[in-house]
Amino acid sequence: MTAIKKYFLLLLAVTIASLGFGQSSESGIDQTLHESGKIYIVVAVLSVVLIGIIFFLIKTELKIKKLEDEIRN
Amino acid sequence: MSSIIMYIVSTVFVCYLTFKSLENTVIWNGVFWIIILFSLTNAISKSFANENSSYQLFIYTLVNPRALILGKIIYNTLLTFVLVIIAYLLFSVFIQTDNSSTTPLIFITGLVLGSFAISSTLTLVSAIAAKTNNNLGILAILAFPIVLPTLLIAIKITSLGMQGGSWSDISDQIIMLSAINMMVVTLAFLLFPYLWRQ
Amino acid sequence: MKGLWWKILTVLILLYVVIFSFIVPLRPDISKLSNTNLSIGYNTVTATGYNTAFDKYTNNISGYISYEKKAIACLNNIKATNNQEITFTVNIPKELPAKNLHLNLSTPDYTIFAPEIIKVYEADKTESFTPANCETVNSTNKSLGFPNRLLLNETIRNLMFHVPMWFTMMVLLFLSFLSSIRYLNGFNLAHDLKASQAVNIGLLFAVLGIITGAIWAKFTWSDHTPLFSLTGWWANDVKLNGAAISTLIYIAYRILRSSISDEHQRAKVSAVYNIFAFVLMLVFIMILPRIYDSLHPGNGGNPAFGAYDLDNTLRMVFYPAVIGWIGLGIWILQIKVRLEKLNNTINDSY
Repeated sequence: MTAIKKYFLLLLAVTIASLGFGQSSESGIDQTLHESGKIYIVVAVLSVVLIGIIFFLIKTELKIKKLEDEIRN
Repeated sequence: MSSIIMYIVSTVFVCYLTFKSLENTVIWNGVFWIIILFSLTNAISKSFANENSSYQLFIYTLVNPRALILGKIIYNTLLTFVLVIIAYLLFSVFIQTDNSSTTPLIFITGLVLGSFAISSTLTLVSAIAAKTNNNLGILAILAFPIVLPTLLIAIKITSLGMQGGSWSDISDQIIMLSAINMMVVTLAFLLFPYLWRQ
Repeated sequence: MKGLWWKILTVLILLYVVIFSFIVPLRPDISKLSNTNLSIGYNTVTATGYNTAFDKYTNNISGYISYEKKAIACLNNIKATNNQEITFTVNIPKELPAKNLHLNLSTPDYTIFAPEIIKVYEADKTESFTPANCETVNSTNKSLGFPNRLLLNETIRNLMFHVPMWFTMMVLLFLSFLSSIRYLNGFNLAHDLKASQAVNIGLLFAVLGIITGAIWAKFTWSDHTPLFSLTGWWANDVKLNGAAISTLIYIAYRILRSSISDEHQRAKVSAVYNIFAFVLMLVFIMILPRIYDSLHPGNGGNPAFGAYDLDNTLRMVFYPAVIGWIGLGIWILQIKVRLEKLNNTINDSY
């Protein structure tokens, strides 16, 4: 079950992150994403990829930290 | 066996009470195959689980694992045919559909090829699932995504058979389904000895 | 330092891909006409372009309306009102070979060809028509650019970030399949470790592919649906459905692994499932388009797929992107495998 939970969390995290995109503009994200030939969608997609890979890196680092603690004790 | 038949009867009856008749033949075939898939999963999950390990050890000394898996596939396929016939009779009695232009031979070919593919896939996967402690749940999780291509082609063949399609319309699908059948049997034949060796 | 070169290469390629997929502009194109249904005789039309920089070429724009590469009517009095808009007049003849016509524009730096953008409903259709003789500006087609496609526009750059996710996933799953075969040929647990980690990384890329695909699809094909509604995130596309099924299969693989405690037993059983599942997944991916094409005849009308691999500029960035992302995936896999090996030796020594 941990597998499903983990991937679901990852999915949730990146979806929320990508939804939060461009919220600051007054006209709303809807318009920001559609003006200037939709270039912001490309930015959103690239950020999702980066966030996903960084998320994975953080997970790996936590695992390494656990190993280091094990060696120290 | 009787529990599986009860399972089919109650599922079909639930479907009957829910929608009485299905005019769209594709949906009719879809629901029909889903009922078959679920009842087969229940039936075949027992094929490796009921054997305790001392019995298995005894069999292991007697027979070749390849002969055993072929035997299991043949047995499960025969069981499947019986269940499919029962399910078909019940489902067509209870749930009306437009089958006036059916080509029986195409429909039967689809049924035979599809149920053989599903039963042989489920046989190998149930051998895998028997190695875990949560047999039935794991079998469903492991088998459903794998069995999906077979199911889609089978639904396609039988619903075309019901709509009065000709052989040339579905020769592609029949070749694909036969190829899947052969591949599944070959893979089961090659991979099962690794599962059997303890 | 041995074995480092391909990592440096991967980083350089990805750097190249990210930079070039953003700085290469879209080719100039006409995105809108003020009047697409022209009448016979004189018409005044305003054309809106994208990336056109019309004001740079005020007196140097020429154009004509064509059918099958033959000019039918010349554009006159072309005036650039700003960098995105021009107005022109055109005299449509009475006899035309077809009702749908193409618009051609040329400036010294680029030419624009907008197929079937002009309609003349009231024309008499004839085989014999008189081709017009238009003056055209000589243009050197020197500008580098990605194709500007209807609906896609700038999002065509996503090709470099979304599609390689699937390539990487497939490569990692294939590596996992090979490792499973090698495990069954000698029962070395190192191969089992590699198989399971390759599936993990493959699933990471699958999830990324699904999310990026959902975002892309939502803003390309479901523009009209409100942003925070749940509709439009899942495009009914064959490739997406195939990817979803592969993801399900490999999540099932992970669940299978987590439910067996003995490690040799787990390795053996999951290797068998992995081989079986991979072969059937390949079959599924191959047959799925065939089933669906025949279920929904003429279900095309999808401007995104199939057409863009023909373009050379896109190719120059897309192929390196695929190689770069695959390299990154294999790099992550290597790190994870080494980490898990270390984990195992430490746990064994205690």
